[in-house]
Amino acid sequence: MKQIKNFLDKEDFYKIKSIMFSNEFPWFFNEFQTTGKNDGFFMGHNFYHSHQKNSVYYNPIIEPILKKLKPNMISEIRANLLFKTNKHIQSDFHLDKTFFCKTAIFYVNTNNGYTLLKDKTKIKAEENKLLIIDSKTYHAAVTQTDVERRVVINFNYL
Amino acid sequence: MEYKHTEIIKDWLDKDLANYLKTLYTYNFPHFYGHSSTKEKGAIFYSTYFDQKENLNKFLIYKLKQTIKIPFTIKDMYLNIQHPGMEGEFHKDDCSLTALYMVTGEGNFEFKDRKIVFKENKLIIFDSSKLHRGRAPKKGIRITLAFKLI
Repeated sequence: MKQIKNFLDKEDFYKIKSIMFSNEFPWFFNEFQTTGKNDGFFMGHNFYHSHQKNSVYYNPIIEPILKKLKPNMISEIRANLLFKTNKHIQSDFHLDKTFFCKTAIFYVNTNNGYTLLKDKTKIKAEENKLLIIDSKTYHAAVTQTDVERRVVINFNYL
Repeated sequence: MEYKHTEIIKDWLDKDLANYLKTLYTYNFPHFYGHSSTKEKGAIFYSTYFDQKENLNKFLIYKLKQTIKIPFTIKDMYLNIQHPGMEGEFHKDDCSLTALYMVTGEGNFEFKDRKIVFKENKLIIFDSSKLHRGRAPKKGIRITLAFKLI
């Protein structure tokens, strides 16, 4: 597990954040966060799916991150948005992919939600931070109680 | 435009079409953050503005014309998307007449003096100058399709 704070330079980061928090950015409703089907809904935006780019926002948002991440192969890239809840609500522990790859979570805004690993490590949601775990690490998303939106970008890659 | 009485139409659309729209608008349409009942206060909702020239929307407008039977022009046609905690505030609409179609979810529609229970496939037609609001759902998603008419 590796955390990299201030992953992007400020100019690139704020460009990404301003697009994703604007009224122009499209989000798609998903009923369940994991296949466990009891952990609440989220909004998603697929940047890369089924072996192809899937968003007009791929270049301005994803390219600057990939330039630094330098993946050899991309499986999926998706933004996730969670709504503010009255108390912290944890998704089911899950693996993003059943095959071996890496999972990176890029935190777009700071809030009191977090990523929880099965060994009880809490990863704070701090803007412009990148978390890298391997695909065998069970993890869960925990909602925030302080701000309306919690936005991350999730990368599954090698 | 004269339309002083609020009209409520249950099962406005054919059942299959209503179910189709429910899935389409919930899962296959993008939802954009940044809509609210009033500019001054109130929770921010999600919304999706529609192209009136798109064929499915043309059909819904045709159906609305069959229902209302007085001439009108559509000023705006869009989805209101609310999640728990996204309470609507009492407000008037900036048009003459509003038609609100209940797509999916829960959270009643209210005038100051009257509550209308949320029920999928129900259409409400009312004078836009009447104060009204949409209550947030307690759980799940609430979607209404608003037609603003002049």
